[in-house]
Amino acid sequence: MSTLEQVREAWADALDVETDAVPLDVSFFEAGGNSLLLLLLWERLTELTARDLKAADLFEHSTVVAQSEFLDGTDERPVVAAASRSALLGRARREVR
Amino acid sequence: MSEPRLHRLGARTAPLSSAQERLWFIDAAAPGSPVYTVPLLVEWRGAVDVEALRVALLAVVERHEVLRTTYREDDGGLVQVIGEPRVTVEVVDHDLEAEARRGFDLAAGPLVRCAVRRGRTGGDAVLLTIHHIAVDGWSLAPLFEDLDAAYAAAVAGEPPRLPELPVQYADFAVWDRAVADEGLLARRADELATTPAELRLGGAREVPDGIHAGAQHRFDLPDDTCSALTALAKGLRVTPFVVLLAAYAEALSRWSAREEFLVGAVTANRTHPAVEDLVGFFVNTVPLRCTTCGATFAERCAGLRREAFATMTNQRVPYRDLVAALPGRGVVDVGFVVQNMPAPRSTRCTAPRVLPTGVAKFDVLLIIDETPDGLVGTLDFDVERYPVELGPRLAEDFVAVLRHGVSAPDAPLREFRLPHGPLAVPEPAPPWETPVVTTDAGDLTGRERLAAALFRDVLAEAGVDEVDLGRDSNFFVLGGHSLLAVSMVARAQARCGVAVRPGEFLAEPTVARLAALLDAGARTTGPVVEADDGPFPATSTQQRFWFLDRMPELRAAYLVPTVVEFPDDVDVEALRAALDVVLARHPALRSRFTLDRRRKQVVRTTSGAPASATVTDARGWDPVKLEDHVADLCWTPFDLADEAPVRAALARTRDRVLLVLCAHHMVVDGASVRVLLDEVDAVVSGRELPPPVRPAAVEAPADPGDLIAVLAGAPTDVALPHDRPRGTTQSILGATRTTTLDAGTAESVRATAAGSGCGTFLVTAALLAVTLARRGDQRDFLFAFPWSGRTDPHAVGMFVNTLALRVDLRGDPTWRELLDRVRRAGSAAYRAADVPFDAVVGALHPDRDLSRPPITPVYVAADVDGWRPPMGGEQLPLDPVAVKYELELTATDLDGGLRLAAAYQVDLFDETTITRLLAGITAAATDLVADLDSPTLGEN
Repeated sequence: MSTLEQVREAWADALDVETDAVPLDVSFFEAGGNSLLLLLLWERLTELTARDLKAADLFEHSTVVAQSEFLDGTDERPVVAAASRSALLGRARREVR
Repeated sequence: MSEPRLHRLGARTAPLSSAQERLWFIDAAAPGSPVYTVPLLVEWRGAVDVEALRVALLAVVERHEVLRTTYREDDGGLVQVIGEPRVTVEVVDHDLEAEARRGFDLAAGPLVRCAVRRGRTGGDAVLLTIHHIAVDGWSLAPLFEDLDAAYAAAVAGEPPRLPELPVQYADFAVWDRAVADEGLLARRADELATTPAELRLGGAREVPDGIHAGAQHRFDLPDDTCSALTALAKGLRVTPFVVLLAAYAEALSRWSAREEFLVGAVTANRTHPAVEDLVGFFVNTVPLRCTTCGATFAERCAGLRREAFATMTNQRVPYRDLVAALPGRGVVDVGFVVQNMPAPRSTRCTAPRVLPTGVAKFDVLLIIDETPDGLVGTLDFDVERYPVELGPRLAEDFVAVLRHGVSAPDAPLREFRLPHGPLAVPEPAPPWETPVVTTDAGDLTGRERLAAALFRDVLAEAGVDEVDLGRDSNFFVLGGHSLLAVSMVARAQARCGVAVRPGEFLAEPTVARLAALLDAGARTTGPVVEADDGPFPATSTQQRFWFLDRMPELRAAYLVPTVVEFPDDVDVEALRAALDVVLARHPALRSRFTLDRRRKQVVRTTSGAPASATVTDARGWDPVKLEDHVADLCWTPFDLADEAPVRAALARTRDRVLLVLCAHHMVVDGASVRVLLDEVDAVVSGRELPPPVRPAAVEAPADPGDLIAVLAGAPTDVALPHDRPRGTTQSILGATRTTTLDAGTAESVRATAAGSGCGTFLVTAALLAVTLARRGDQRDFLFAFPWSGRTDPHAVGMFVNTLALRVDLRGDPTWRELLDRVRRAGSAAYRAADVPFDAVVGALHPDRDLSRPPITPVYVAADVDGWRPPMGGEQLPLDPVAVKYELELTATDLDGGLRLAAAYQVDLFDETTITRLLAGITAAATDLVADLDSPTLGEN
């Protein structure tokens, strides 16, 4: 399955529509998504493509086409096991300085 | 969380699946009844080779263990026991109808029998009769295709060879038990509890519950209606099931004069891929809530689509368990099923036809069969409950509604008149005599009186009134049935706290037996969980915050930390004990949140363990260590699924006592924190607390339409004087600058604003907009602001909604005009105060991203100064603070002035920029009070 098809299927899953009904050039929110559904989309795409995605990436690349191009352009980075809570906190704190 | 695996166990015994258990109970209530007999008739082309058929059937029964399984009760509960194949093929020369109306003995077996009728023109007929506990509609293709292949081999003189199955039904039953989801069940039961149970159509008679005679009425759906149905379903992006159900629901609504009711959808429930080709009983009855919301047929379809989707994702919640979880209610009287299973392929015989058993499974069941020739309907209904005319009349009405709906989906349904409608005059009820009960001599014991009360309550709900009960009164003789018994046992469990197995009661369904079981029953562990602890869907604000909690960069902004400094002589132990009382008593503070991926929503329960306060001796700590400790308490995120969303910690320092109280914003708002601290004071001083307030379980829907019209067109960003550009993900690290308008200016501002109908909040928003417009090109602004949302001042929870205010400076209005504009904008926003912020965001800002807050980066609020922490405590300001917006301006009315506090993102602004901005607001305030009729910007 091409990346585009994978992304489209993940959208169909999150939005609960037929795959054919998923628009290619419309942002996820315009297509009926909300933040919670975006999270589900994020999980699904991470699972499908086994890549280290960030939710922010899906905001930045908001259409099916943009997301599949983005995914095609990223290196295949295996998903690292979820960091421990304190490590996560450390990261969050560093980022807020 | 990994699901239990479904795999081959190879055991000879297994528990019953929940679906099977339901049938077992029904059979136990009326042993040998044909209600769940499935008579399958196939017409052979030519004569049947009876010996070959016997050999073939043996091979099929050998292959599918469920066809050679019997069911019994033993010490550990109900078990299915896989036995050796036993097959007989009877040859008869009489009609097979009577054969179809015989039941089975579930304990003795066999549960498959076969009869061949000779002497018909065209060929023999084969009737394969199986108890429903071992077969369902989706089983027919694998069953008859296996039979066909085995028969072909047998006729050719070869031993039939059917490949071994990778998993058997018993393996499914084990898995089915392992994946039972109590939370889902409780939630579903809760959702259904608000819909009135019984659905009576016009012409209904009052009859005792139990097994009733049934009749069938078959009818065709016109071809043009079927093709219009397909087209409409496609256009509305719904399944034909939804369209058919919408028409059925409308017909039922007219026949019952009800606007909300439940229809039981009979679903295949083969949710695990490994069971797709198995023979066995998988189907489940899933109650769907049907309402008459929506003026047109298309709107009804859309509403039902949501309901059907939400419900079908839960199709494996066993109907039996739902009935048990809703004691005293029958749950569904009316059923609906679309049979779209593949027909078995065979060149030897016709597809199997299910013969009527003469017994009704529902009061009314509409079956739609998808056949190669189109859709065929069958109404299967209870002829004791309804007159026989119901079949043809309801069928005609259903077809009429469907025809109208698919041809005019956007026409108001109300205006559509049915040809005749329901059987208007209910027939007089046949005399239903209260069963005569023998009362034996002697008074009942206390426990027997309790058992008798349970009998009476449950039977009364089934329509059996005023029963004289003795210790030997039999539940079934009195008119009870097995599902009622299950609900009675559930109620006994809730009332007495003891577990009773329904099977043990059904074995001897008398008052004395129930009393004995209640005496002997094991105490259930722990208190019975109150139904109103959820699970409930989280509010839309909670759903939004839950999402934000998953963003590592943003999550700390949704913590609500409060630090209070108490004098050294405060009683720390009393404070700790009081905190524990307060933390435990509010349902919101016991919340747990999890994401239900199937339903695509966050759900909340309030049955989690409460948080408890800690005390640390920090007298020997240096200031840096103490500061780190406090920062950790303030800014460590919560694991919302597994821990209480609040923490309280006391630290004794050299010269004072610090309290850090931190909760997630999903469960508290600013007012809640004050309530909590005041309650701590009340507990310490021995004052009585009001009962805690439970947040409403379900959010009222609100229509954003009018508000969107007011806000649409305004820019969804504000040009702020940033010193540095935005990053891809917003930072939440903030600092605060404050300025105070002197008392004279503040008083004039308040008086002027009040003259224009504006309060502190609106005038502050106007001043900020003017300040920003004077520094740049933007003339039209959206600012976010809070609405308290609470109806009870003592409630603890997150009630605040975020609203959006439009401040429009186009055309350089005078101050008077501007105040008038913001007053109108404010009232538009408040009118739609219940519209969740998310809905506004969705409508106004579809291309949002994480670099800034949606709609607007500016938040304006007004606060009142008047609350102080109790017990001589002093609230300490936090530094740094977490900010959700780039700029958060809070105006607080003081006795001696108006304080303006600007919290800002330090990644974007220098402190001096914010100081200048506050000076700009002060200057604007001076202009406002100087001349209300001067232009705000002076551009013209």
